[in-house]
Amino acid sequence: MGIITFIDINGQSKETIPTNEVNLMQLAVNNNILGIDAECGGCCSCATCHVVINNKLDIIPKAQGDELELLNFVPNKEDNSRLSCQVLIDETLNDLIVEVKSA
Amino acid sequence: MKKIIIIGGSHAGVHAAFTLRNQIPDAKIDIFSDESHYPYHRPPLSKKSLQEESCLDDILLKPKALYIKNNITFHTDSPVTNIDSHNSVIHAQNKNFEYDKLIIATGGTPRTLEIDGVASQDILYIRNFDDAQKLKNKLLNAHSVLIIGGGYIGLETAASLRVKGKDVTVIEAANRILNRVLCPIMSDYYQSYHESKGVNFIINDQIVNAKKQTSGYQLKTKKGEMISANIIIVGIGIVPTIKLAEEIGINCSNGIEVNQYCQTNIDNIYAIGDCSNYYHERYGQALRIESVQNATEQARVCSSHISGNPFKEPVVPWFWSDQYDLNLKMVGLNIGYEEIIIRGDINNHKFTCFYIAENKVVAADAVNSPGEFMAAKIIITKNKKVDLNILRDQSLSISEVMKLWEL
Repeated sequence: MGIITFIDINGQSKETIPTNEVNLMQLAVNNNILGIDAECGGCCSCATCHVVINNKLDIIPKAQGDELELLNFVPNKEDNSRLSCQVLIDETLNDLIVEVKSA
Repeated sequence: MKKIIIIGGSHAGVHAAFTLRNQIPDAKIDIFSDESHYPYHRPPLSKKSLQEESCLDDILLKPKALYIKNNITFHTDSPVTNIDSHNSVIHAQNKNFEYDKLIIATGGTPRTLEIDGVASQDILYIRNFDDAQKLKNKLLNAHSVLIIGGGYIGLETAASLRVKGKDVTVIEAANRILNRVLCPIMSDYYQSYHESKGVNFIINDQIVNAKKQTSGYQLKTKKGEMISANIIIVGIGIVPTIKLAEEIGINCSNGIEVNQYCQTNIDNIYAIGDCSNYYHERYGQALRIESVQNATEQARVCSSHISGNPFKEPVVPWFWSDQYDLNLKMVGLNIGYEEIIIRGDINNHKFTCFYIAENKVVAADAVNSPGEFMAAKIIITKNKKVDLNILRDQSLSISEVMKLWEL
């Protein structure tokens, strides 16, 4: 598994290597990435794990359903906004760059 | 180097520790917990982890390695026996530990119930991982369950146990379930939904005594109903853990009294999370709120005060509860509401109940409606007097409502 880079809420970039994390929110929490509060623990309830992913658009699906409904009211929402708890990790995410946004 | 001690290892304490680590890189940070486990998410205990095979690692707040990596010392099985605020030390593990700043994040313990005829070890509660494990073990040989208390813990547990095929009875002393937190329409809705899933309710009644049976108990209510149950679970609220604070003269009333920075009346001592009775500027009063979001918000406020970062008022309180396929998200406090406006479709289980006071939206309960919940969060935060007929107009989407209200 390759490297996934987070750019935290203060603009600091941090490289992480997934071990057994299932989704990007867990990866961020396990690496103490600033700005990912993940209050609900990953059940798509709180929108405190908002990120923007601008590369690898071909393999990262757009938000839909409940996730999209939550995101529609999040400040700083962008076209490629996602809730990181809903982005599953697999080897195709190698070299992904994930920008953390405030909830 | 600043020495920071946190008493209590759950949502509030852990969030404070990691926030402080980011804000004060060279601080010495110690967390003392009376549990033998590393901190874990509590909400799943009555939900997902009751329904499925799961282990502690699945619900840890942070992996163990992250504490070491961030130089946060986590002391398991280490109850703090007393605080000496004159010498700025706490006593644990038969030793003294010095602090410059002390954060009390001791949470609460379940309010207990004595039932005439039932051995106290046969009454189960759900607060800690060990409580949930004990319950899961007992469930293996149980068919019928009595849940005392129709609040969130009781109802989430009822839902989880129905999913597992158990016979479930819920008894509530008040005249409706969820009466402390929701309006009567929501209480009726939730009771009907549970009944459609097979839960039996006894409302406005109490257990008076019980007789032991071969497997479990035969219980009698005040109104004379008889209930047979293999297992008895009690969920009637929590009592804040304030003993350490009270002993040293910290003001307590329904929790440890703190100002908007989470400071107690004793220098360098803070209190956060379920145990704190926090002064909310927004509401002009002290409130003790039991929720994950409240715990993390207060952790943030208190950490910023310790590190000298600017104060940011906590966001409006919000909560969530999962029962069956119903995801309920609540935002705001409905204290003193005058009117209810319902949007959406109750029969389709996708609707939102808005609480109105003085022409403002003060709270909302959103069932399977995450968009309305997020919108309500913004509307309530703005605290603006609005034309309610716009909200009543169901042909408008919530975004259109907000536009018309210039929010």
